[in-house]
Amino acid sequence: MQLPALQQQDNPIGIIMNLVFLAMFFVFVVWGQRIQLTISLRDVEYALSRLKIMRDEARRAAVENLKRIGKSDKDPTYYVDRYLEYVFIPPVTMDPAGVVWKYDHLIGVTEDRVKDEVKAIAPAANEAQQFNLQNLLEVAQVLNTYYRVIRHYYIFGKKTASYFMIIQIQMLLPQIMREAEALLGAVHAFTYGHPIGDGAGALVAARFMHGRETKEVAKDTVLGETDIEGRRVLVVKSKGPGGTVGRPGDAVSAIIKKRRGISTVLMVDAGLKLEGEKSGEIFEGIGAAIGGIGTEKFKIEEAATKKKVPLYGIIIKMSTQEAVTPITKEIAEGIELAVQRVKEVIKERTKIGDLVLLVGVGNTMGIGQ
Amino acid sequence: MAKQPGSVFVSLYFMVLGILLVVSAGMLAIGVRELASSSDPSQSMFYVLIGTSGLAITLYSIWQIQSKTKGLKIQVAKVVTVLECGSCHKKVTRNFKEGDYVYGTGEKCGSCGSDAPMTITDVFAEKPPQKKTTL
Repeated sequence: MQLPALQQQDNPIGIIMNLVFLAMFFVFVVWGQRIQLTISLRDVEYALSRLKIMRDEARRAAVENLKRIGKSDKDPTYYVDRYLEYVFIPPVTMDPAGVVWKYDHLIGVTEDRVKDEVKAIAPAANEAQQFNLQNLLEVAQVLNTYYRVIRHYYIFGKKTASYFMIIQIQMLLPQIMREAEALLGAVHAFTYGHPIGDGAGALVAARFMHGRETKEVAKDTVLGETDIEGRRVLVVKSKGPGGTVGRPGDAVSAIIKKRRGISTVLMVDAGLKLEGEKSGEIFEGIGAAIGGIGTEKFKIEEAATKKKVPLYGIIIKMSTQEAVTPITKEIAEGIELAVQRVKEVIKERTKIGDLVLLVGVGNTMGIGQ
Repeated sequence: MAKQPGSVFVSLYFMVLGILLVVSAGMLAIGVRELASSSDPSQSMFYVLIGTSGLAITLYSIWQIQSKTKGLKIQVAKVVTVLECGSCHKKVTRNFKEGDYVYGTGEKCGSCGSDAPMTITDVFAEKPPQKKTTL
């Protein structure tokens, strides 16, 4: 199409339009990157304001629940604010030998400290509620960390007018925001103690453990025994219904050391699905099916390798959000599928009379045994 | 704290949007008037095109701002508890109550009148998150 107004030099609007286009050309040539930077900064600024709202909401929920459940005379606000700034100082890894045990020790110290402080600030809370309050505080802490880190890069990028710094953070924002929104969704679950998607493995173990006698084999981790298709099955899960993942690594090490003749270790855990996959589907693998920082996985692999015990894993697929929010119907169906699959694997991979170790991994909030 | 969106940039942005809105509306009006009276429809069409595009850009920008300032929404799922009677094995589903947990105990069975409390066998979100609370 012809644009006559632009071509008519005697038409004042045509002259204006020509000047505008010429000016725009020079503006984009000279300040193009600066304009891009401003647009990118706006995106980061918007994400930052959302993260602040999320952080504040999680903080508010933590304070309210500590007051509601804890019924302490002290105002928990100061404690919550202090906890939000806690950092885990990782051990030095220049000489990596033995670093797992250093991590293990530091994680244990962190857990004990938070547990003691929650106990002090919420004296009326029972053990399960104390665990749930710890989880709630952890959510608020992670959201606070996201907020602080994004704010740091935003301010730094703005001060230095570094386009490349800002676009790097802008590229990461969709993933960060998705995780932050999932954590915000978790606040409600941790407030009321709903079983969450991450507890799928623990619920599978509970299905086999229910009605049997249990004993604590490691910190916050219980063991029960049952029979499946003529095999003796030792079932391990974290001690519910409080929100804890227990110490499955310590439990598996202790059991393999004490009980001779374990023919197979079968682990069930929740795993992140890829985009396009269906929640609640199960898949299998060989190896220790357990996430986290790696210390528990290391212990399980060490113990199994020493005794040459095969390790099998059954994983229930779910999204990041589903892992920290109440179990959905699809995941509940996946759990029942996993229960059936456990029975099949035991039948296929072991002989009658064998001793099998079944480990249900995950946060056992809202799941007893 | 980082500089909030109430900065000079925002004022400038709204000023540009305002100017664009006025200029676009003016061009659209001229275009429509010329279209009716002028013998050269291509020039009038050009004004109409520019005016319409300007209005569309302005309205889209306003819609974007409005959707961004709507606030965050927390998705709250409806969570239900499934209880099973140990005697008659009847299953009952009710809304989740604080303190419920899988393999915990619930109320007595209303069907068989057994004295033993029912066992909670499942707790799950009944439907995908529906209720939304704006922060």
